Amino acid sequence: MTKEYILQIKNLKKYFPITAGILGKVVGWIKAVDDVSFNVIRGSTYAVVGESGCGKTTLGRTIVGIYEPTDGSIIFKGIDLTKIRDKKRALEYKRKLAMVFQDPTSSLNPRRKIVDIVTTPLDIYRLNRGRDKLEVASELLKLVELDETFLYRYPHELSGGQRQRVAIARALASEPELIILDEPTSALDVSVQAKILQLLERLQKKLNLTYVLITHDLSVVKHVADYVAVMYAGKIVEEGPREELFNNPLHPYTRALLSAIPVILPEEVDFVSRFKVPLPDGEPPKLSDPPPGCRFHPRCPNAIKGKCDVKTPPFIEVKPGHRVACYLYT
Amino acid sequence: MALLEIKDLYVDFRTVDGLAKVIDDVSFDVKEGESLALVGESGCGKTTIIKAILKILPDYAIVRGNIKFKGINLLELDEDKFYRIKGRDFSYIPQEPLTALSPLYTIADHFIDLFVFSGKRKVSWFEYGSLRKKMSSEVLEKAAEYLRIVKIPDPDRVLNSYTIQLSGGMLQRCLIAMAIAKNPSLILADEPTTALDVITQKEILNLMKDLRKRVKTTIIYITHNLGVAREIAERIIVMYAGKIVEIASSEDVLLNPLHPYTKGLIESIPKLTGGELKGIEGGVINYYNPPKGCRFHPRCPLARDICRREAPKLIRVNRGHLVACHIIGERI
Amino acid sequence: MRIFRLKVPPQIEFRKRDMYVMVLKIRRSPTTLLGLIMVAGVIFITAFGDFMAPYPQDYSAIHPQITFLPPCPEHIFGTDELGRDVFSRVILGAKVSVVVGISVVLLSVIIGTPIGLLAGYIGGKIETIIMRITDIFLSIPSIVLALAVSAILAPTLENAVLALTIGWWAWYSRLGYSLAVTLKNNDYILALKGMGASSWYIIVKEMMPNVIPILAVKATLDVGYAILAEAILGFLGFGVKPPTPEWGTMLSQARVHMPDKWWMVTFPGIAIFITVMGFNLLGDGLRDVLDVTEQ
Repeated sequence: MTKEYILQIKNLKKYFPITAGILGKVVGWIKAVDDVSFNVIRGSTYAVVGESGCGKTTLGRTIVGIYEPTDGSIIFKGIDLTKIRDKKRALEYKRKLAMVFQDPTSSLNPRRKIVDIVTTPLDIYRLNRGRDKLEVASELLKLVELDETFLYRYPHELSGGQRQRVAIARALASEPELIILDEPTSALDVSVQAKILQLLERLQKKLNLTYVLITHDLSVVKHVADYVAVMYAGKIVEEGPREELFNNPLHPYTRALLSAIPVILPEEVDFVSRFKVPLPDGEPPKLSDPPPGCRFHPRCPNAIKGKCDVKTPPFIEVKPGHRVACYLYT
Repeated sequence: MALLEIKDLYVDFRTVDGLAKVIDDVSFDVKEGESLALVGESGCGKTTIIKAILKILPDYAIVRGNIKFKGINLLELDEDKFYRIKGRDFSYIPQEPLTALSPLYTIADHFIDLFVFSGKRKVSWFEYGSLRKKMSSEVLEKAAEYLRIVKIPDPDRVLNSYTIQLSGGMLQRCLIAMAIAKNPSLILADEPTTALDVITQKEILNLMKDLRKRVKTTIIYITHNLGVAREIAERIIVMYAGKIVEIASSEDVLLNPLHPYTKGLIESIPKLTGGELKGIEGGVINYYNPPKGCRFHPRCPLARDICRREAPKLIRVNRGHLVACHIIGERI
Repeated sequence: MRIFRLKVPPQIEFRKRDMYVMVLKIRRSPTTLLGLIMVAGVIFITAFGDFMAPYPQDYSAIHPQITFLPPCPEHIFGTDELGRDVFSRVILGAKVSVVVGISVVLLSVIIGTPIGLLAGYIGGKIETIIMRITDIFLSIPSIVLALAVSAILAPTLENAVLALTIGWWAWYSRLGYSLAVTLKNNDYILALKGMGASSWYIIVKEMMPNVIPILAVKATLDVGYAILAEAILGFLGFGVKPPTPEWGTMLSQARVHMPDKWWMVTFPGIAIFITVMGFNLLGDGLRDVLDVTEQ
């Protein structure tokens, strides 16, 4: 059975220029996404985990097209999106890629009605096909379990969970095949989060969707992801199938992350205490001035002088499907 | 006698939309030396209780009830006496480190201000100037020591820094240092690690646990994260919609939750060891027109007639374990 | 200021919900209602002035035998230095003042705002070019600019409008620009950009609803000021040529006869006051009415 890759990211880079002076001279670069590569299998959920500032949000936005990549390829359904010049063709592919943002309050235009918000993709991609806008909007709301009385309301009249459902409905309007979810539940209470996650799961099965989930919450990842990539300072440091990564984390940063999760059950405490790692000192580096070599070495308890601080470790496969960028494993 | 006794506390907010009944008949005790977590989702009233204790609620808040600290009712105290107690005995660690401190002053300035203003309601300019001059060197020496205690490696550099020059984790450590520098009897911490990343959060929690090994200061810790509560607290109070629904030791709350809301909450949290994820039906209540009877009944799978009519009282079901639920109370 | 929460019955048909809410909001604010009535009154007079004036011929006719009559039953506002009925001339003058005022603002909005929005949203060289041109126009006070242009052109109504618009459009360009810059980094705009929406779609469909409330308020208030500016032009001798009745010109010509012939100054002055006041009250209330996020 061949795996079909719906999305292939190859050596993706996104740098933001830092300017100084009146003339705007470029004095440096914020390397938010620095040579990231991974493949996503159709129908699966691929999670990118990292803490704030690691570049994961920029990664998501670059894939979806909000930012132009500085370098690298985004291959979606076999076509390299970065190389399409014709705007019409680009739109044809773009409609199959949707995004749900983190903050449901800011991702919905406060001055537009819900019915207009969810049918926006139809206007952009010209998918009206003569069907009544109200009808389509009602159907979309039904998919996300919202009553049609919400159609003529404004976002501020809805709760956080309801707004996020609207954001999901909007993402579904163009019948996408891949949805990028950027911290879809971080702004929500835990009881609401559970319902949204359930909804997303149901939708995935029903509509055969592929998800790229960007989050900092490893517990959520353990629940919904099939594959996990750990991101640090603009680079992916470890990648693997969910069970494998959680049972056998290799990279020191991954181990530190896992050991730091605040858990509630004794079984979880046992699970987490397997990683008896000293917590790394300091903070993640500034993306404008990352340390030489392995980005994690200044905080790493296992850093090897002369090796880790010189050259970036290669991303190699240690076990089938499980890759790490760490000199401990070369 | 408990250090802090809250009895029959009601807090209403009078707004253009009416009267919001934000805290409804809350009572609990805090024993000296214990570490207590106030847990609940956003809007349940946990921050409001802390602000009621510190008397920093806005003008349109109406507070009724008893807040007794070391036997003295704080709500009946006159301003000056209250400020003296507040300055001497209470410390507050707020949620957002960046906005809790003024960007115009250095950490050193904040420390000095802490001691200059301690216990006084008003300080005249002249007083401020002279007190500052008198206390500076002594305070700064102490400050450096406390910064070292919170594991800040170069206290002098940090003391001379402004808030924007420091990271969230550093700032939070400074706030903790400031909180313990006055040797308070009671520390009130409002979600101090929510704005931090998971690793820094763990470090701060470890730090606080270590500090408690040295000096057993009483601490009330507010959080919406049960995992964090388990780490830091001995006892957990679960709140919903302005009411207390369950009180028990951390272990009991997590391993033997009795109230349907607590159970629902725990079931909603994704666990590292797997298991199905279940949410809680329904949504936030309308504080202007709260549900009659038990405030949780519209969302409760066990709700019966009596739940719609009568608000349940907190009853003791076990040693140290209290629940406010008609159904569960009956079963025990 | 919210006095009480709006109770909108859920059975109100969906489409009309917006209108219903707006009407409710207007109803509960006495000042807005007053402004609305005043403006409606002024516009009515502007439209039907010709039929309301008791002496429409006094647009240009002169009656030397009844000059300087104080207010009396036949001439309730009295007559001016040429025997013309002041009441009629005030009513007829409304046409000039109000038409000029509204036209100037309308044109400025239509010309200035899209330019500013474009500059703000697109950025880059277009932004620089447009905004520097805007800055040049902004650096000269509107009235001075209008005066300069009026002095060159023939004193007709159209030219008065042209002159004032030249002095006014830049403010709307600046407004559009700052709004576009503020809005363009919001998540919901980025989301659309990511989907591949064209700049045109984003500006018209997503930004406009956010821009219109602020625009409407400023525009309504500006009508009052535009009318004032027009009156100033007239007062200084520019703008429309006599004998065309125009409030500012009437004030200017009547000035020398103060304080004896007070009616020649007072009534045009009151007319200006009521008009400007009406637009101000309306504009103020409009902010609350048009803002869908406030209930």
